[in-house]
Amino acid sequence: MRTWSVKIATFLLCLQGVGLIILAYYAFTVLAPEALPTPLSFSGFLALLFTSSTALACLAALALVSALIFLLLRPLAWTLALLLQGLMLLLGLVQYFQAKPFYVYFLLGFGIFMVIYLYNPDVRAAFPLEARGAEPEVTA
Amino acid sequence: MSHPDDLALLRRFEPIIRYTRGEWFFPMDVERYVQMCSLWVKQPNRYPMRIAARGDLTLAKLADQRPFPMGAVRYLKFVNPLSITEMAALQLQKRLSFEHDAESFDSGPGRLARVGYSSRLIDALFSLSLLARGRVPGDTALAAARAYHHLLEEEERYTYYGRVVRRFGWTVLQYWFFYAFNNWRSGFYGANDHESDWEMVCVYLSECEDGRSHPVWVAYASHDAHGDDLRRHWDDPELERVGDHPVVYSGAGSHASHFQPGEYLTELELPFLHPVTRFVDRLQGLWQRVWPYDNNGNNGEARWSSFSLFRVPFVDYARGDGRVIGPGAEHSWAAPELLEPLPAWVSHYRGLWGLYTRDPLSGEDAPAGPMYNRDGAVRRAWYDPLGWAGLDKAPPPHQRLMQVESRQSDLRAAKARLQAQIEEKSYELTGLGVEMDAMQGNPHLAQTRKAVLHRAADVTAELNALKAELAAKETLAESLGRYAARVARGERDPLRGHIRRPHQPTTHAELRLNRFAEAWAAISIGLLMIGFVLIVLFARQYLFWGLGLLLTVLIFIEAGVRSNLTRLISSFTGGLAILAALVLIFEFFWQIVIGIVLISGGYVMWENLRELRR
Repeated sequence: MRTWSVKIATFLLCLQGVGLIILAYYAFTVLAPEALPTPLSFSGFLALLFTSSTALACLAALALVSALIFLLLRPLAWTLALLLQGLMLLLGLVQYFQAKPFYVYFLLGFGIFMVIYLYNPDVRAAFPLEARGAEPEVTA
Repeated sequence: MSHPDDLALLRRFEPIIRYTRGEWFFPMDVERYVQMCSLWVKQPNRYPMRIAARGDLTLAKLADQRPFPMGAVRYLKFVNPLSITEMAALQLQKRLSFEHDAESFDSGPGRLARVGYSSRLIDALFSLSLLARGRVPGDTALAAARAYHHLLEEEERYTYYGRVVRRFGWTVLQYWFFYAFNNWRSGFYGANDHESDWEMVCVYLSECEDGRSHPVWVAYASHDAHGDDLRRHWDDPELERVGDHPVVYSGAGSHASHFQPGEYLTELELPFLHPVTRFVDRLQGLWQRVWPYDNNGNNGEARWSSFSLFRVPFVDYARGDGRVIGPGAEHSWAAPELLEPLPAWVSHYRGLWGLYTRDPLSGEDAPAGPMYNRDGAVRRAWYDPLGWAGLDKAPPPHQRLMQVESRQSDLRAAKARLQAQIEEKSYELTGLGVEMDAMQGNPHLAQTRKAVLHRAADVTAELNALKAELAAKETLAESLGRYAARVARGERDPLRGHIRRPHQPTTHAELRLNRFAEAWAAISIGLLMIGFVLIVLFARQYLFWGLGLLLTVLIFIEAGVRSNLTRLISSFTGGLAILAALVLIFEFFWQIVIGIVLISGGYVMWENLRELRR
C-alpha cells in the first residue's frame, strides 16, 4: 500500500537523485582529470573513482531508479534504496578522508537521515520480505 | 534397595532407538568391553603406567580402589592403533563385510554449506588445532569397529543399564546406554572421536489415582540442550512413541539423542573465543533493541536467534534410517541390567572409560562412567535427575492440586501477616499525624515536630511498600485461585510452555542449497588464503586495499549464495551510518548541540501554542 511514509520516501529519493546530479555536474566542472599525477597510482585511481563525477552520476541514476520502483512498490525497492544510502555514505566517507570537499557533510547527513527513515516501521512494512521469498534463517 | 517392579517398569517404557545408516557402534554391555581393555594410570609428569593388561581386567578389578596421587587419571584403553598392513587389510575387508552400511552414508549438503563464512574460518582453525591437541588417532575408530564387530559376531546382544529413582512423588526411569566408541569426527564430520560413550534417556512417571504409574515427561541427553529444554511431555507431538515406548533418534557417531529424525546443526563454542562471542551477542542484542522489527513485522530476536559468528558448526545426523533397536523392532534389547544395588564398577571407578588423550578441550578424552564427570565429580543427571531436566520446580500431576492449595494457604497466611503489619503501621501513622497537627503553632516544639515528620515519612514509605506487597500477593492469590480451578477441572498446562530453545532439525528450506553453494563453501576459505598469498607476493603495496576488495567480493558472493543480501546490505549500511554520524559529531559537535536545543525549544513552543489555541 502506498502510504504517506512511502510517498515521502519516494520524494526524498527523487530529491537525492536531483542533488546528486547537481553534485556530479559540479565535480565534472571542478575536477580536471589532467590535473591528476601520471602515472596514476592505485590510491590515485581510487581517489579519482570516488571523487569523479561518474561515481556521483551513477548514484544519481540509482537514486532515480530507486524512487521509481519505490513508487511502484516493487519488493526490491527497499533493499535498493538502502544499498544506495550505503554507497553514498561510503563515497562520502572516502571523500571525507581524502579531500573533504564542502558537500561531503551533506552527503553524510542526508545518508544518515535516509537510513533512519528507511528503517521506519511504516516504510519497511510496505516491502515485506515474503514478497521476494523469505530468506532462510542461517547461522552466521 | 530396588523395588520389585522396577525391572517391569523399565521394560514397559524402554526406548526404541533408531540409528542413522552408517552407524558402527550400538549399545553394549560393559563387561565384554572391559575384558577387551587394559587399565592405565597417568600421573602428573610421568609416563602412563599400565595397571592391568588386556584380558586380565574384569569389572571387579576395575572397581578396585587403590590410592593414587593427586592429579592422577585412570583410564581404559580399548584398542591399539593399527599397523599399515592391518589398515590395508581392514580397508579391503571393509568393502566386503560389516562396514557396508558405513559406505552408504551420505552426508548430504555439507555442514560447511549450511553455515557462514566466519564459522567456516573458525572451523578451519579448529581442524588445524587438532594437530596440536591430544587426539584419538585416525585409525582408532576403524580398529574399534573391528573389535566391536568381532564381539557382535560372537553374540549379537544390545544392552542398556536401568536405574529407577523415586523422588518427590516422581518415579524416574533412567536408561543408560554404553557404546564402545564415538566416531563422530572420523565417521560423520563431527567435532570429536573418543573411546567409549555413555548416553542416557529418562522417563518420568507419576502416580494415577488407581496407584499405577503413568508417564508424564521424557528427557534425552543431547549436545546443546540444558534443563527444561531437555524434556518433552509424553503427549507432545514432537515425541514419537510406539505404544509405551518413546522413540529416540540417535546421532550418527555422536549417539546424542533427538526427538525427531533429521540433521541437527550443533555449535561448539571454543573457550578462548568466549569473550568475542559474548561481545558479538551483545552487539546483536543492541541492534535488535534499536531496530526490533524486520520487514515482515517480526521481532528481530527470531531473526538473529541462530546467528552465531564464532562458534564451530557441526551437523549431527540423526536420520533414523539405519538399524532400529527396541521392542517390536528388528533388534530387541537383551534383559536390562539394573544399577540397583549400585554395582562397584559404577560407584568406585571414577576414571575414564577409554583413551585419555590429554586434549585441553576434553572433546577427544573418553567420558567417565554413568555416575561421574571426567573430573570425578558426580554427574548432575545421576544425583539430581529431576533438576537435570528442570523438573525440580514441577510437582507430579497427582500432587499438583495439593501443591497449589498448599501455596494458597501459605499465601493467605502471608497476606494476614501483611494486613496486620499494615494496620499496625497505619495506626502509628495516624498517631503521628495527630501529633503533627497538635504541634502546629507551637514554635518551642519545632525540633520534636521535625523528628515526628521524619518518622512519619519513614512509616509512610514502609506502609507503601507493605501495601504494594499486599497488592502483589492478592494478584498472585487470584491467579493461583484460577489456576487451582483449572487443575481441579483436570486442565493441563501448555505442553511446550517450558521450552525456551527447542533444538530443531534443519528444515528442507534450509537444506535447499545448490551444488554451487556446496562448492563455494568448500573452496571459499582456501580462495581467501590463496588470494592473500598472491597479493603479498605480487602486489604487496596494495595489501590493505587488495585484501579489503577480496574480502568484500567474497562476502558479497557468500551473501548472494545464501540469499542473504538484504541482511548484508542492512549491516553494511548501518555500520557506515554509525561511522558517518561519528564523523559529523566530531566535526560539528557544538552546532549539533545547538541545533538539538533549538529544535527542542521550537517543539515545546509549538506544543504549548497548540494547547493555548484549544
